[in-house]
Parts: sequence; structure tokens; C-alpha cells
Amino acid sequence: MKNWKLVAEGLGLDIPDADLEGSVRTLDALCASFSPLAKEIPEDVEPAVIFSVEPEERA
Amino acid sequence: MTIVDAARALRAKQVSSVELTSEAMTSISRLNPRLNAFITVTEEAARARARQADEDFARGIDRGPLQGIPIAVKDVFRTRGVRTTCGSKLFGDYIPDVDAAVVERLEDAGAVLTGKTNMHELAYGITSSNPHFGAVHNPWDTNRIPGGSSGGSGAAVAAGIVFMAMGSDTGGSIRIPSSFCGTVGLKPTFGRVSRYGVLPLDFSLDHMGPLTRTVREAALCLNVIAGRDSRDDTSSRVPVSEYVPTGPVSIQGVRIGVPENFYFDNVDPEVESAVRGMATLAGRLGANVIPVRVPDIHALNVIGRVILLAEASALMEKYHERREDFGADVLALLDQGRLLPATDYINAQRLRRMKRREFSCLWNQVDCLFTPATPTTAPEIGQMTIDAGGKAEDVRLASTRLVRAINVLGLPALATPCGMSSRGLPMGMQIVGRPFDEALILRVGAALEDATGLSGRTAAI
Repeated sequence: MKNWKLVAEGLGLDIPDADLEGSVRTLDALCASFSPLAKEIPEDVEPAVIFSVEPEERA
Repeated sequence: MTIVDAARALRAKQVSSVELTSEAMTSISRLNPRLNAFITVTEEAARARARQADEDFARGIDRGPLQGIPIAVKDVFRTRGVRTTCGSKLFGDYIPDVDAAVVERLEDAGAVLTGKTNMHELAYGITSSNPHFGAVHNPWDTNRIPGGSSGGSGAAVAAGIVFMAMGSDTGGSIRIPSSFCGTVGLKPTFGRVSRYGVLPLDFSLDHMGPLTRTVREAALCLNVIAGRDSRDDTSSRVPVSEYVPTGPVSIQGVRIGVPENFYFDNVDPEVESAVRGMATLAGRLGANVIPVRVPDIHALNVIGRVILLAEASALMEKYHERREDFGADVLALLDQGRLLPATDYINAQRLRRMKRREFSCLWNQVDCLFTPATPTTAPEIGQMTIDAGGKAEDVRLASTRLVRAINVLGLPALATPCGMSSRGLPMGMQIVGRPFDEALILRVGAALEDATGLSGRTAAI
């Protein structure tokens, strides 16, 4: 499991300890579920983000 | 009375838009102190628009079936000259100078906007217990949540205040309140309805759609709001169909998939029984009901949560220092999104592409899926966990468990009532279709509605 306090400090995020503590279990559980999925991705799969270049529309 | 009934009565001069709007205003005055469904009521403008609608009818101008019909929109849709809070202190005084595309289309069709509905803060949650504008109450039991984030829209429609209220759905926010409030809720295909002018929660998961009391009303509203909008980069060029089923609705031969895995795990037995009962009914109406194994929905939910955390936190970047202006639950989610590495977000979007391909194979076997919309009926306000089929589970995670994956896939989904529980609370099911095949899921929903009469109910409050 990650040390989320160190992650927050490393990123320069000003998250009070009390608030951070409330999120640790959620983040740990999410990462535990997500990491194995991420390791299954074939190299040629591109992200499904939205970006496309089209000819400029003329006014 | 449905929109169809009201439209007919308006044209037959049996009722006027001014009268319908006055009734809506009277209902708001009577019920909003108990439901807290509205953040802003636009009474003066609504009465003026109603008078205009009546004058147009008198002149023979007919803008379609929404002309003169009182409606509401969630306070996430920008409305020109009318405060748009997004349920947030951050936007408490925000008065836009543009209308959202959906608002433009509804107003062009002659609808009468009565106000802006209350919601979960920033549309980032499912209780609609808003720390800044107060909790929305479920009209079937005011001690319970209406669901969310479009909770005010669900409550306003279920209580019969308005015929239709618009919602937005990023991880179930139309279908959850529909399930808890006993309304119909339609989340269209991603790109079917423009997002222009909506205060966003998440770039790639937000969908806009109507909450109504019947399926045909949802179909009718979709016909008004669907279509290409060049101001939204994700708006689709796929032609808009005629969505309203006409005449006797047949579902003969429609292949309905009932999942063998995931969707009935840890579901309240009453809800499971009601959904399976609807599948049996569909079979009696001529559909082919087929047990199917669905791809890994838990994985899709995890992918969806990573995408949502990252995109929502990116969107709110400039507000992160105003910690005191957020409710505790939303602040925690925003913090979590800031802590996730960028690689997780990119990999979640790669996994999304993989899972979409995997899921598309399912459409070779079936035309739509029947699932519960939520695993339980509405929890009580302030309740933190629910017992979903013998397992205690966080209310937010349980309530989104059966709906979130469909946002990741961008598929159309209809939430529709499937019965009342022994405690007198509505139970909802979800009908999921192929991309841009809203017409089919609406047809199936209308056939069930005709056979059961379960939709169209108003909570006696």
C-alpha cells in the first residue's frame, strides 16, 4: 500500500492529516482493485480520451 | 395526467398553460417546504412563458408536445439570467449569460421552466443531502433520500409537481433517483444529448436525460433534446430516431438478456424478484428471454471510479484551496482524485477501450439487458451503510454498483419502476441497450408499462 501522506507531501498538496486519514482506506481498496487490471493492458491499446483533428470549418 | 394527455387537453382548449403552470406553482408552495426539491423557483418567468404558450396556441402556432408544459431542470444546467448553483457554495451567486443546449431546445419547444432542482453538491454523490441547500426528501417517505445526484428532479416528478425534470448522470445520477422515487429515467447514449452549457463533473462520463412518470414521456422529451450540437465536441452525428412508441407496442422476438453473473449478487430479494418478474412478463409478451454472462462489471466500476476521481479533481483544480466551501464527502473525493497518479487515469481510459470492445460482443446474443437499477430501495437520510442482500455496504458504492459501468461504456439505459416493496417504497429496474438504440429500450419499457401499469404513479404526499 502507498503512503498517501508522503504522496500528498511529494505533490505539494495541502491536505490536512485528518482529512487524508478518511481517504486512505478508500484509496488503498481502489488501487488494490485497479493495479491488477492495469497490468493486463496490451501495449497497443490507446486511451479512450476524446481528441480528434478535423478540417477547419469555414465561416 | 401525462405530457401526452396535457398536450391533447391544451390543444382541445380544455386547459390552458397558465392553469397548468399555476397548479405547478401551487404544488411547489405546498410541497417544497417538505421535499426541498427546488433551489430556485422561476415563478414570474414561468407565468409569462405560460401566457406566451397560450397566445401561440390561439394564433395557431404549435411548437410540439412540450408547448405549455411545466417542467424543471437540475441546477447543473446553465440558465440565462437565472442563478445556476450546481448545488455548490462555489456557484452560489453565479448567474450565467447563456442557456445550456438542453434548456434552449426545451424552451424552443415551448416548455415552461418552473425552476431549478436541488441536487447532490456538484452532482458528486447520490444522496442529494446537500450541505448548502439542505437535504432533498423522497416523496414516498420523507425520512428517506430521493437518490442522486438528480434528487430534486426525481422528487419533483414523483410528487407530481412537474411533468418532467432534466437530470444529469455521471455514475447513475438519473437512474438512482428514478429507482428510489419510482419515476422513469433515461440516460441516453454518450453524445446523443448535448452537454453544452452544463456545469461539468466529468468530461467523459457526463450524460443528460429526462426524468418523467412514464416511458412515453421520456421518449417524447428525448426527441426534443437529442441531436447534433457543434458546441459539444462529443456530440454525435448519428441521426435522431423517432423515439415515441406508437400504437400497440410489440416486443415479439426481442432478445432480452438476463445476467447470470454480477447483477443479482447482493441485491435485496424483493428487488431481485421484481426484476425477474418483469423478465418473465416480457417473455409472456413474446420476447426471447436469454440468460447471459456479462463481462467483468466490477472491473468497469473500478475503471469508472478512477476516471471520475481524476477528471472531477482536474475540473475543480482552481477551487481546491477553498476547502471550507465543500461538503465533507465531496472534499474527500476531490482529495482522492488529486492523489491518483496520471498513469492510473491513462490506464483507466485504455481499459475502458478494451472493455467496450469486450462488451460489444454481448450484442450478438441479445438486444437489451434487464438488471436491477439499485440493489435496494431508498435508504434513510443520514444512513451510511445499507444491507444489500445480506451484505453491509457503503450507501454510495452500493447505489452506484449496478449503474456506473454503463456510463463507462456510454450505453443508453432506461430506469423504470418494477414494483413496490413491502414497505411501500418504489423498486426500479434498468434496461440497457446498444449504442444509439434508445428506441428499442423505450419500446421494451413502454410494453412493460402498458402490461403492468406500474409507471405513472404519483406519491401521495
